[in-house]
Amino acid sequence: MGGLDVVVSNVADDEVTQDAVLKHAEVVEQLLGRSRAVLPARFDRPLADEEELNTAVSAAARELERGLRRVRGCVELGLRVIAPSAEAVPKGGSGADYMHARLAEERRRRRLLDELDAPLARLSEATAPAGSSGGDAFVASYLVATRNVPAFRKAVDALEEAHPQLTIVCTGPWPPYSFGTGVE
Amino acid sequence: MSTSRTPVDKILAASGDLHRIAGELEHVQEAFPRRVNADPEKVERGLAQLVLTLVELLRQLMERQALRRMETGTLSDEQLDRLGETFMKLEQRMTELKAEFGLEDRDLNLNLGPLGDLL
Repeated sequence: MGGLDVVVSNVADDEVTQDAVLKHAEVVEQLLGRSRAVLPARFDRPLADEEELNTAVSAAARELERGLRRVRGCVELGLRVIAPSAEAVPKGGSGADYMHARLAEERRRRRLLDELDAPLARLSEATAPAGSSGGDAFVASYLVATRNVPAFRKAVDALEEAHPQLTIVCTGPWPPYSFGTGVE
Repeated sequence: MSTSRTPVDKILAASGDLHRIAGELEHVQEAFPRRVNADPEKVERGLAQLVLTLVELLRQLMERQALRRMETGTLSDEQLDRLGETFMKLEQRMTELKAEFGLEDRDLNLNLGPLGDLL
C-alpha cells in the first residue's frame, strides 16, 4: 500500500500473555532499527483476515501517513520521577490550616512538574500527556529526534543534579509507542 | 541485532532510590488478565478496593475544586474552615479503611489505558 508496509502475525489463540507482549515489543524494536519510521499498533488488535486488515488500513491511510511523518527520525524516551512523600499536613490544626497546607503543597508540586518538564519538552518534538500517577510521581513520554538524544540525556543529568532528593529514571530509546495514531 | 535484550539496555539515566520505581513496576503484572478468584475473603478485599478507589477519586476531585476556589478567592473563611474539617476527617477515615483492608495508595488507582491513570 502506497509506501506503507504493515507487519502482522497470525495467531491461533489470542490470549494476552507476558510472552506475547514481549515478542510483540521485540518485533517492533527490530523494525525500528530497519526502517525510517515505525508506528507501533496497539498490541492485541484483533483482525479476522487480510480483507479486514486492508479495510482498516485504507480507512486510516491519511492518519497513518501523518503519524509516520511525525515520528520519522525520532525515538520515544520515557521519564519516571518519584518525589519523597510530601510532609504530612500537621494534625490538630483548624480546617483552614489544613486547606492552606494542602494549597502550598499543591503549588510546590505544580512548580516541580514544570521544572522537570520544561527543559525536556524544549528538546522534544512532542510530549505525550504527562500525568502524575499518584500524588508524588510524575510520568511522561517524549518524542525526541535521534540527533537530540544526547542533549536530552544531558538535560536529565542536569535535573538529577538540581534535584538530588528525587528518584529519576529515564528510559529508551523506545519505538514511539505513545505517539502512534488513534488507530488501534 | 540481538533478539534478547535485557531491560538494563533501556535505562538511559537513573538516580535516587530505584527500589521505589521497582516497587511501582510490580503492579505492571496486574495489567494481564487474571482468572476470577472466588475466594470469599479476596472478593471482599477486591470490592473494598473498588469502592475506596471511587471514594478517593471523589475526594481528590472535590479537594482540587476547593483548592481552585481558594486560588480564585471565592471561599469565605467559614466555608474554607468547614471544607478543611471535612477533608481532614475524610482523609483520616480513608487511612483507617485502607489499613483495615491492607490497601496502599497505589492500590486505589485505575489504569484507564490510553487515558492514563484515574488518579
